[in-house]
Amino acid sequence: MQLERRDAVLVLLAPALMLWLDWNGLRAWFHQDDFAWLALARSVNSPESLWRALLEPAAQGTVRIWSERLFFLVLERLSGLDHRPFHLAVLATQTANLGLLYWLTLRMSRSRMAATAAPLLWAASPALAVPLAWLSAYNQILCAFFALAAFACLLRWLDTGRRAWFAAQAALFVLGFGALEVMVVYPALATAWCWLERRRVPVPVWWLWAPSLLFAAAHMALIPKPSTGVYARHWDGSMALTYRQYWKLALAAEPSQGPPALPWLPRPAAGTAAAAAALAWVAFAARRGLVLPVFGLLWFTAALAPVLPLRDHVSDYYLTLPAVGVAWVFASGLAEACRRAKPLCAGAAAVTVLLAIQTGTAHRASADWRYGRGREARYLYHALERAAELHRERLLVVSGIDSELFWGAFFDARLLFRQRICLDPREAGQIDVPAGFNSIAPAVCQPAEIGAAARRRMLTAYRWEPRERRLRAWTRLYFHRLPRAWLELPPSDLALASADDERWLLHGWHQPEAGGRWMGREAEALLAAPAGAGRRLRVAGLRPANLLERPIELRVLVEEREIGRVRVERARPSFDALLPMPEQRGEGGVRVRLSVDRTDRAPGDVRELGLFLTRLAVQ
Amino acid sequence: MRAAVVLLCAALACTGCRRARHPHPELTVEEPAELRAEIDATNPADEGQLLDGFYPREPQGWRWSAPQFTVTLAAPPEARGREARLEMEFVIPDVAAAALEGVSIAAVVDGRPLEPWRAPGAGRHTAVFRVPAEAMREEAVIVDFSLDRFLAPPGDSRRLGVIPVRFRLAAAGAK
Repeated sequence: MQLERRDAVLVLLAPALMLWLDWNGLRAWFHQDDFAWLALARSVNSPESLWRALLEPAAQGTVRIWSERLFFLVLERLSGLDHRPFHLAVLATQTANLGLLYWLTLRMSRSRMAATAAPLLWAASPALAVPLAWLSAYNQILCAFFALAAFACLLRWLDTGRRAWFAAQAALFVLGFGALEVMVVYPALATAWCWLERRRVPVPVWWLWAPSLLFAAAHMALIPKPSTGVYARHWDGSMALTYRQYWKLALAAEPSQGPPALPWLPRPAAGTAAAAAALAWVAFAARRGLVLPVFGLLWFTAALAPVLPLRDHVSDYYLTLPAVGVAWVFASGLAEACRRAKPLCAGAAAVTVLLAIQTGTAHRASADWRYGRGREARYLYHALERAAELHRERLLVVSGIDSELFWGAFFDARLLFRQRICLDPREAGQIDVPAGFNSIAPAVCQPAEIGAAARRRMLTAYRWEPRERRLRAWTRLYFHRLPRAWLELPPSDLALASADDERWLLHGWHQPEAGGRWMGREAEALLAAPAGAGRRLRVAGLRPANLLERPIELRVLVEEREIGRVRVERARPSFDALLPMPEQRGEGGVRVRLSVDRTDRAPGDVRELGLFLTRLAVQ
Repeated sequence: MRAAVVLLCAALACTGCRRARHPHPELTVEEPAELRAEIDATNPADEGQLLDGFYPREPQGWRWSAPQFTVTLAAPPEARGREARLEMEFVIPDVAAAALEGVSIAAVVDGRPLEPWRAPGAGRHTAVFRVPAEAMREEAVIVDFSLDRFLAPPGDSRRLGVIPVRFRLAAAGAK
């Protein structure tokens, strides 16, 4: 079917609807994981760090080079924390997606009505609200682009037989793995279409399975799969229930998706009616050999398949690509009904409009909520930025953060600051930790670090004022009400070069000097007990080359348990070691013992010199 | 198509120029850098020294305290390391006279409780406390006040103490 002048107008209807529904969503500021990606982008300062930022697997072992790594890396470099270029990229990609869907539907259905309705229904889908508003979910939009563009090339190849189209399809398909792992289902979609339309699958299409099988095998072999928690996979009957749950979400049939679109029609009832109409239409179409509605159902199912085992992690934005299938089912139904009889057309139009209102209102509510979340994150981030600017190098202890603001901004936003910003530990219990979320421990100050910062006059306390949306300093009162016991706790980072922390240097240390202090043959210190697992002891120091004719070995023990040895030799006279710390309970501190296998005396110095320590800290 | 690409690049260039940003100074409310030894509880400029337990100002400018409230005051140089006098001028309005009759005001400085002061009844009063020299070692002191009774007006969730007017820390012999 040839494109006509009117197509230029019809193709713009869906982007216009998107702009209307997502006007707020497309202006939402950074929130949640966005900060972690921005922090990763900011951490790039060498070829090694660039390599790490691009290719080191992130949460759940994902490496989405285009949609997460380069997306944040490039745009952060260009525009810093200006969210508009990010959203512009999202908007451009989704506009292209809607155009591709228009063309695909026109080609597959030979109906302008279906070609117009499908992008409109997809744009209204509640699945799209989150990826359009939340930049960390751009992977869904970009994956849809690769899938739709590859599929368009497949159809062009089938129509023209030109190899270039197949090559373009294969390239887009492989590149799509850098957007989202869901791309693995693409060969199934291509195969299904060939079979449904032509009753045969060309040999080159079978070759598309090779990258998918390779990717799936590598994914299974290399990336550890959690057996517990929300990312645990359940290959059982629960997948059917999860599938049903996604249908409900796609049709906005959950009461939690907002108030009913029509006051007299509750969401579940409207969703059930729409689902029944869709199933009846697909069954009818299958009997009559109509391809698009059946393919729509297959597309929905196949694109959803990779997330069906995630029983405990049902997320509406996983429906971004599958929702294209839903749009095809309803759009093809509308077009076919209008081809047959006016009453049928009126009925189908009523169902379609009802669905669009039902999904559109849910979509709008979700987008607006994201916008609000971004706004709150923006206030908090900029207030923290101001606080950090005023109090450089100091520990910033923040109070008054509720669970929503904590997860929406605080937890990840603090990663963008060089100095330590953390929550008052007495408020940690007020933060709800939803299933599957990280431990809040890294974002919570330890009493020992507060005590150490307070002793050194390096602490600033702020309280978040939710009504004023700004931080209010209250260091004097905070310090005044600080539990006195905290001031007596050993620090997690000993000030070796000053006399401030001398009471925790138990024995075996010489007087402080510029940059650190010497230890004798054996030295002992008390450090803050590491909170939680995975903490490490950082030991850094040096020994002048003139005292290193022979290598010297440092042995490190924590509570009489050896945690590591460090060898210092003339070729590398300085060292900076991170040694695994055993997990300790309680706040009394841990005893760290350092010993060397030999000591020396420098000319004119009566002291027995082991190593010059510059850093001893729990990290 | 070419026009679209040019437009997109132009839009990216316009919005995407990285500019040096300075956060708005009003995003945080900082503590006063310099403390005063005498403060007016009704003066917005002195609000930073009213640390806790004060309700927002009423339209007329004065404010209620809670039954416990805390202020910080600079120690005058002549009082540093010496015995000092702490004054709190306050009002018990007629509406609170019954509830607060004979109210006792306790003050704690640097963990040291001072001799309590008892208010005779409604009206304007000045509570005076003797601060021992040991509590006057720092450049500033934090004083925790507490009342042994309070006013709980019907339909108001607040617990009201007195209406503080002025706080002052001075050397023991100063006028």
